[in-house]
Parts: sequence; structure tokens; C-alpha cells
Amino acid sequence: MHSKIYELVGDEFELGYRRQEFWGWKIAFAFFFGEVGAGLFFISAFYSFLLGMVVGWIMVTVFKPAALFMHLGKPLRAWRAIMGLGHSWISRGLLASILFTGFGGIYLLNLYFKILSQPLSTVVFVVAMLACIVVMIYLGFVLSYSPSIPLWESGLMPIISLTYGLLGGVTLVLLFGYQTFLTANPETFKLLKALELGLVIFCAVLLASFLHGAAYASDAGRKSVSCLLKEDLAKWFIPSVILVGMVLTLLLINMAPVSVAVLVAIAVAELIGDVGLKILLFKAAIYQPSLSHSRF
Amino acid sequence: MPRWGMVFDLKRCIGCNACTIACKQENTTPDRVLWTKTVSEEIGTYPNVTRAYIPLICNHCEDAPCERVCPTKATYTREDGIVMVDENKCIGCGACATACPYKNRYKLHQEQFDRGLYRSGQLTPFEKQGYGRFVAGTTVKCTFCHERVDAGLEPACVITCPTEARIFGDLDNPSSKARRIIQARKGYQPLAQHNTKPKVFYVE
Ligand code: SF4
Ligand code: SF4
Repeated sequence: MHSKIYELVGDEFELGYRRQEFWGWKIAFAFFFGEVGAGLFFISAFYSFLLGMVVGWIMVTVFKPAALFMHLGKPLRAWRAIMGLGHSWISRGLLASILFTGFGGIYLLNLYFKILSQPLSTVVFVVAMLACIVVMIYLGFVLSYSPSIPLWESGLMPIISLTYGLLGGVTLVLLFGYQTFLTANPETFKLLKALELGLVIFCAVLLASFLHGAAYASDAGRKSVSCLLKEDLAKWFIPSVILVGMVLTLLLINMAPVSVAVLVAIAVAELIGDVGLKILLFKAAIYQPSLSHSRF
Repeated sequence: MPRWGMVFDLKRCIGCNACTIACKQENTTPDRVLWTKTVSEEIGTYPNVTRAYIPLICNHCEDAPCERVCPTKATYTREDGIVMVDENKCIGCGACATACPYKNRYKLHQEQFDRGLYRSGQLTPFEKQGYGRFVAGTTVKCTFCHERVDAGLEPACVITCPTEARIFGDLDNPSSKARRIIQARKGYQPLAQHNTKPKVFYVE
């Protein structure tokens, strides 16, 4: 750990902390659509809720690649990203997304047209669900796998990805299912509401542990946390991720009488918190200085 | 097969950045792309203040995180230890750039090639010829001047350094100057705690 506290520097020829600038809002949206879409498909699948599964599948299959293609410098070569399965979580995530697209799509078609036998349909379902889980968590592995940025280098990252994916899924199932299958199943509605509540609280605990861990991991980690909670990014992080994404979501789930308007408000608040967190994780990522004379 | 590496003598570096210019001249890197540069750090408190100059370059890590995360295998290590990027395979995802703990990679954008560096904005013949080696949208980094090394020459930054603060050599050869300096002056690696095993060493 460095004993000297450095300044954040840009392109100056000065030693100091430097911000990560390669990943921004496009890739944040790509992962947002991937996680929430997979979460929506996953939760909907338990209730055979076709609308939720279709919307989740479209988010992963259409919106996520669209955002990714906008980010890539050479989108037409994107297929090459499958080559690094042995070592790269991006490749593994891509494989999972392809499997999800294929097997999830076949499963959806089968729900409608009944083309597969029961055992085959079960196999397709299991593969689609496994791929769905990988799509939900792989951003966490992508970020935690690199030693460069202390904020990201945390074993909690994949759990945060999974939890936000499931939370987004539950939120959207409540919204889309309210006037469809949930009307006839008030018990399921109650269960999903309780699950939403639990997941928001779990997200808050996870985020607190994650920030605490980053702040004590290294000086650069502390700088990242300070940027999020006290410095330039605090004006975005506190209102979007904490106040809207967590506090407002919790208040709305608990207090307001349920209506479509309230469920829309819950979904908007929760999803703002989710996408805000992803963008800010990229913005707050800070590299340590490569060398420090003050060590000697 | 040699295992190329570099040593920076911090006692000799005067922060003139001749290495930076030599690299740009050798590799025709476009605007805002500096494969090597010298940063400085203020040390001490008034009135006992001094400035230290620290050359930075891709460390051609043995266990390079940039290579580990690359989904296309565009980033690869040659047998002689030089870490390279294949511009025909790179998709410009930037994973390597975020994973490099030393922030030594650059993503190229088309606008960097559209305008020359001189005031008129016109591309000079030098820029026109040199930019042909790059592919916009891909990621680039220092190559240890691999064409020069293959021809038995030292990297441009090394031969240009007026104080001989940069020493290039075979780290596996006990009689190479680089290896001897590392041993004699207890050379250390940047951010060694990350276990990336850089092939760049610093001595004081
Ligand atoms: S310094 Fe960075 S770009 Fe160079 S080999 Fe190491 S990780 Fe890769
Ligand atoms: S930007 Fe290119 S070299 Fe870097 S990880 Fe992506 S494909 Fe590999």
C-alpha cells in the first residue's frame, strides 16, 4: 500500500491516480440489459409467465448486443470474442449469451407451438436457465478478475451482479404480471413483493460491504469510494443509487397501496439505481500510480 | 531464445522526454497516444523539495492481465517475451485496457487519423505513411520496437536517451547489462504486488 496520498491526474505528466476511461455508459447499458433481461427470464420461467420471458429474452438478445456493438471499435469482428473461452470471462459470457439466445428461444417457441417432447423440452429449459444465470453474473467476474482497479477487484462483484439481475427480474415480473397472471395469484404477488423487499435490503448490505472492502483494500480503492460518497461522483451516486434505487424503492414497496402507477414507479426507481450503479462503477474506477518514490 | 526486458535508472532520468518523442517518431503513434513517457513526482516538503522523474512503458508482463482477459486472443506474447496486439483480430472491446494495472494501452479512434498534428491539420507525408500501420477501433501499446529488435537493434527510446537511463537487454542472459544492473542495484518491478511479473525494472 502506498504511504503517500496522490492527486487524481489526467493526461498530465505527473504521477498520481488515473481514472479508467475505456468503459463507459454503452457497456454499462449492455450489462444492464443482460442482467435485468436474464433476471426477468429467470423469474418468469418459474411461473411460466410468457410475456416476462419474451421481454427478458429480447433484452438479452437484442438490446444487449445493440449496446455492445455501439461500444466495440470493430463490431463486425465481434464473433472473434468467442476465442478466449479458456481464460476470458467476456468469451464465457458471450458463449452463455449465445446459448441463452438459442435454447431460450427454442423454449419460448415450444411453449407456444409445443414442438418438443417432454424430455427434450426439459433439457432445453435447463440449458437456457444455466446460461441465463451466467449472463446474470459474468459482468461481476469480468470486473473482479482484473488486478488493475482496486474498486473492482472484489469477490462480491459477481454476487452484486446476480442480486441486481434477480432484483430487476422480480421488479419487472411484478409490473408486467400485475394485471395478468398475478391477479389470479395474490399469494404469488405477496411472495414476489417480499422477495423484492429482501433483495433491495440485500443489495444495500452488499453495496455497503463492497464499498467498505474497497476503501480498506488500497489507497486507490479509498479514493474511488471517496469519489462516490464525498467527491465529484457523490452528486450522482447518492441520489440515484442510494436514495432513488434503494430508499425510494423500499418506501414504495412498503407504503403505497398497490396500483399500476406504483409498480411503474417502483420499476423506474429500481432500474435507475441499477443502471446508475453500473455507470458509476465504471466512472469511479481508479488506477494506482505505477510507481511511488515515497515508498523508499 | 532471449527474454527481452528493460531497466530504468531513476538516478539518471532527467525527465527530458526525448524517449517520448523518439517513440512517436519511430512508431508514428497518432495524437494522444504515448507508448512511453516520463511522469514526475514532487518529493519532500518546502524548503527541501526535489522532483523525481519516472519513465513509464508497457512492462511486457510475463503474466499479463491484458492477455488473460482478451476474448479474441488478439493480445499474445511472442517467444521472446514481447507482448503484442494483432490488429487484425482485435475487436476494440477495451478489456485489455481496463485490465492493465499500468494504464499502458490506448484505443484508437478514427478522428485521430483524420487530422494531422501540425497546425494546418493536413496530414504530412510522414503521418500518411505511418498511420497505415494502425487500424482505427483497435487497441495498441508499446511493442518494444519489435521490428528494430528483430533486426538486432535496440528500441528507439533506448538509443535516444541522452543519459542512458534506459537499458534494454536479455533478462535470461547473466552477462547482459540489463541483468547485471538489476542484480547489482536490486532492481524492482512496478506494482509487483499484482504478480503480473513485469519485464521492466527500476533501479535507484
Ligand atoms: S504493462 Fe499492461 S499492457 Fe503491458 S503487458 Fe503488462 S498488463 Fe499488458
Ligand atoms: S481490445 Fe482487442 S486486444 Fe484488447 S481485449 Fe479487446 S480484443 Fe483483445
